[in-house]
Amino acid sequence: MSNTISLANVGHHFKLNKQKISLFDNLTMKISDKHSYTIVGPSGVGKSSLLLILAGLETPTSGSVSFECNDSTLSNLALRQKSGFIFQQFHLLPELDALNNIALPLKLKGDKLALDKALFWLKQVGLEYRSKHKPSELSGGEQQRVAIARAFVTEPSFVFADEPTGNLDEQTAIEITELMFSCCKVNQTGLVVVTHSQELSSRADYCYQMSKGKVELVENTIGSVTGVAV
Amino acid sequence: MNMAILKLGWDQFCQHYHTSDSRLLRWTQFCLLFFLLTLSMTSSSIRHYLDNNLQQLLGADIVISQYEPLSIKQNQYLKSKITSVSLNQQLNITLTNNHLYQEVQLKVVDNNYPIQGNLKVSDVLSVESYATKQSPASGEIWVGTRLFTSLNLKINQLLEVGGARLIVKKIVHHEPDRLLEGHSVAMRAMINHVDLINLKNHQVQINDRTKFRYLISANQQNIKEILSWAKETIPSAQLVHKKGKHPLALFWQRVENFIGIGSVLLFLMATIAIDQAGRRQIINQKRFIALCMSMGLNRGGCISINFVQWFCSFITLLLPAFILAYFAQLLAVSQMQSLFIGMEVHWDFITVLKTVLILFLLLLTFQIPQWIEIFQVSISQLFKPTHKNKNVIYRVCFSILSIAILTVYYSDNALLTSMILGSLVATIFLLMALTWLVLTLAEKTTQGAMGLVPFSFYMMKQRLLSKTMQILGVGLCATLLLFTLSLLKDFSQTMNNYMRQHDGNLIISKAQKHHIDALQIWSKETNSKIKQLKPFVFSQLVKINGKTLAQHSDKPSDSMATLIKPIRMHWTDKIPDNNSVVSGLWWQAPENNWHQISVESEIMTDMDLKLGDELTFTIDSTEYEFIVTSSHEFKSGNGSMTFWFQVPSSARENIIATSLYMGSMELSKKAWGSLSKLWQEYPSLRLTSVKELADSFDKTLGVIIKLVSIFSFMIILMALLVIWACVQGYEADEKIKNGLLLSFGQTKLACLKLSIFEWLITALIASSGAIFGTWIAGSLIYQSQFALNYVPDPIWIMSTLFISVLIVCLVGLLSNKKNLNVSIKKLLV
Repeated sequence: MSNTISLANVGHHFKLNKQKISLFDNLTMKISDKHSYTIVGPSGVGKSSLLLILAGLETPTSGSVSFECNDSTLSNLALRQKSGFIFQQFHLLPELDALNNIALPLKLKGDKLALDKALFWLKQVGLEYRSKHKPSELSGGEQQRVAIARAFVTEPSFVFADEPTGNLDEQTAIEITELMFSCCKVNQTGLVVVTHSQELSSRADYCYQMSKGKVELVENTIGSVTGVAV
Repeated sequence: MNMAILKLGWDQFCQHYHTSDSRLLRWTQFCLLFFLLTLSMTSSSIRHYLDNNLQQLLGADIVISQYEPLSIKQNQYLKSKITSVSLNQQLNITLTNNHLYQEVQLKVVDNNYPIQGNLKVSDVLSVESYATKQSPASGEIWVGTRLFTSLNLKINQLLEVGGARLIVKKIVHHEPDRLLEGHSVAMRAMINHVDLINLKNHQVQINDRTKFRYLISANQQNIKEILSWAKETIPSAQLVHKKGKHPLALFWQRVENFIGIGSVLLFLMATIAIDQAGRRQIINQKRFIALCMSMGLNRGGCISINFVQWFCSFITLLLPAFILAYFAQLLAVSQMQSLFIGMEVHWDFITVLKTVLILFLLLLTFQIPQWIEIFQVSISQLFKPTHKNKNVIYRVCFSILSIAILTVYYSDNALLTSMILGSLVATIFLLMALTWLVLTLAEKTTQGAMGLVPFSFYMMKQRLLSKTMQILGVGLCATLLLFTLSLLKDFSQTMNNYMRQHDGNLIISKAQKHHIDALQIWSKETNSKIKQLKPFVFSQLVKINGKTLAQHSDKPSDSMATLIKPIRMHWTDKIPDNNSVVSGLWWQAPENNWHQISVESEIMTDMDLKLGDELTFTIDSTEYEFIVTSSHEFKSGNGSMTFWFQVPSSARENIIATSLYMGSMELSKKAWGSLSKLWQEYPSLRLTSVKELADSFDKTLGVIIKLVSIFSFMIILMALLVIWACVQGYEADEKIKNGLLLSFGQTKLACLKLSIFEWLITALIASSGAIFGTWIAGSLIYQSQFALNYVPDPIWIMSTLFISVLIVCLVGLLSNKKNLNVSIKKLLV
């Protein structure tokens, strides 16, 4: 099964105090669930906006975005149901322990094996001995591991991560990066990561550099992209 | 405390002024301030009115009232001490004019009346009155303005009163001693004492429950001596003098205390709202304090800043709350003028200050747990936040302490206070138990199921503590509102209940033997029926275990207020069908020991009586002792006529007094028209239609409805604040939860459904708890405090349940609207 997200001539801007601020224009790119992608660039350049457009959570001001699964077009909702998210601030529910935080999306779908699957993923991220601990009892790195497990537990086609190592120390960041990429490889999940970290960006198959309205493919091992600066 | 601290505290107050948490806290404190200030200021105006009336409108230096005339020896003593005296007698009769009839309080005056002040009279209804020092001459009757209109009288018209013919000579607008006669809205008439002797049928004699009032002028020294003498010699007499309390003072004090107890409940709801709203605030405050400490400030300084911030918030509320309370007081006083004629607004700085101080103390006490938490803050928490909340126990204890302070301040009736608070505690426990039970069972039952409902139960169970607080807050509001509305509804329907139970449409409130004989003949003629008749004598309780009533207890109570006047004592060998024995043993006939007495159970509690106590009654100037051997209570279903004091039939043989009767009749339609004929023959026969009772009841009920409506409005306002606080306190968590749900592929509609479902469960549990709480409160309080039977109406309850669930859901959803309008974008950096 093959899933892709295609952007065709996509441009995006917003208005602030009656001033139009353009992020990018005429951007055409294709994201596949077989590869990993990073979006890098300085703060305020529009990385998160691009991530949101790719995830189907924001509509671009121009151009089109389509989501395909085996050549059939999917709706935004269907894409979200096939996606997982990893946040910089983890956003684990404080009243649930680690196991139940991971099981949450499965419970929501009424999966009877939610806890078993959650336990499996807890082991995958090396925290099976912390299953009963609440987020307040875990370190930052441990919380992010739990968040990663939560993102992958539903076997998504894509995982979108926004600065996943932003709140972590260097060593932990490396571990988390390693974990994320290995999970993606094992589960054949497309990974799109917004990051400041050069270390993290070098691990991805594709790296898109955003700066002052420009989106450039910095590393390209497979496929191509065209992006135009505004 | 140095200027830097003050300035910092003030800055903190200003910076947080527009935050929603701060706004919520201010609204809650404002409501409490406003309510208590309005209560205190209105109360102060009423007390001032009562004192002022006592001072200026006494009509005498001292008034002695009792239901027997003074003996010759007592009269001689008084005459040696006084400068002048006027004897008034008061009795109730029914006057008729053609087909019109009216029950009237007849005042019989001597030629010395009035001894102080002037009567204000007129010769025509529509003109202004003029002052006079004269009283009615023999052959004249002076009538009050309402009676003049009610009986459609004319000046110089001849009126037949018990066979005597009196001329309607003047209309009375004002009597100088009017208010001291006690609170009564009865219509009034005045005749000369010479005409009393001439009245036919001897009904208006001494033993006809005539009240004797001696209006006395004396110097200060003699007043003191007379008061001491009266307390010893005539303990059953009521004494009113310029240094004493107005008769209405007791009534108002009870109303004020009752409303004060209600404010305890409002305060309890406010503590829940403040606690919920403070959840986020305390996190920000702790962070601020930790930062200040990291910059060199000591702990004491940190607490001072927080105290200044809190104090600024309190102070800025004072002026607007006071202004609004002042206007509310104006409104309240205007409404109360129908009960307290001539009352005006009175400003009392001390009362306002006392109220502000007590509320300051209460809110300060409630704030202490927060300061304890702040005191425990350390700089390390900036590096490693601690999320454990160890201060729940402090918050609960100090909340209880605050409420206890307020309860003690306002409580005067331990029974009522313990009933209200007992019902409340039972409701709280039930709500907590219900919440835990429902959520645990529901979560366990739906564990394996799919969909939003099982998820919703799961999440609610995980947030058990916060959900319980939410349900508790809403549930208490709903309980209070439901009880208040239920009381209002049942109070309004009281006369219907009374009519169903009363077994008749006419009450015989007082009749002598020959009246009964006449009634029996009359009822045959008019095709009416005497339903029940019970004999009694008027007796006055004068001593309990050898002590006077005042020595026995100085706490105001409704029972005490009634027992200072003669009340009806019944005799029977069998337990009446509408009574049941609560404690002790009922006597068996024939009973040789006639000194036994059974007392109504509520009187036992209110007057702090127990089995074995000795009660001394004065009946027709003779004292009789009885020992309390049992207590009884009313049992519905066999008529509503019941007595506070009942003795064996053998006691009646040993009591020298005139027997009187009370009962009920069912009148046919044509019988009503011939009632006036009966009264012309027997003017002292006391008959009251149930409808008349209802009419006089309606006036008082009107004022009570207004008071209760205002109180209900306060409860609703507080309920909205509680719901707002409950939503506000968990706003951030809710937003994250909704954002995550969206990230898991759920729709906004799903989030909305979840929210609706959660509020539905909250509302159902809260409403069920409220119904239970109302049932407990009703069962305990109705009979003892209002002499009503609590009979819950299932249809009314179910409709109220449905409406309250709907309203709570709607309000919860509206408050939650911001949390629903969220996107995953909010979760990103």
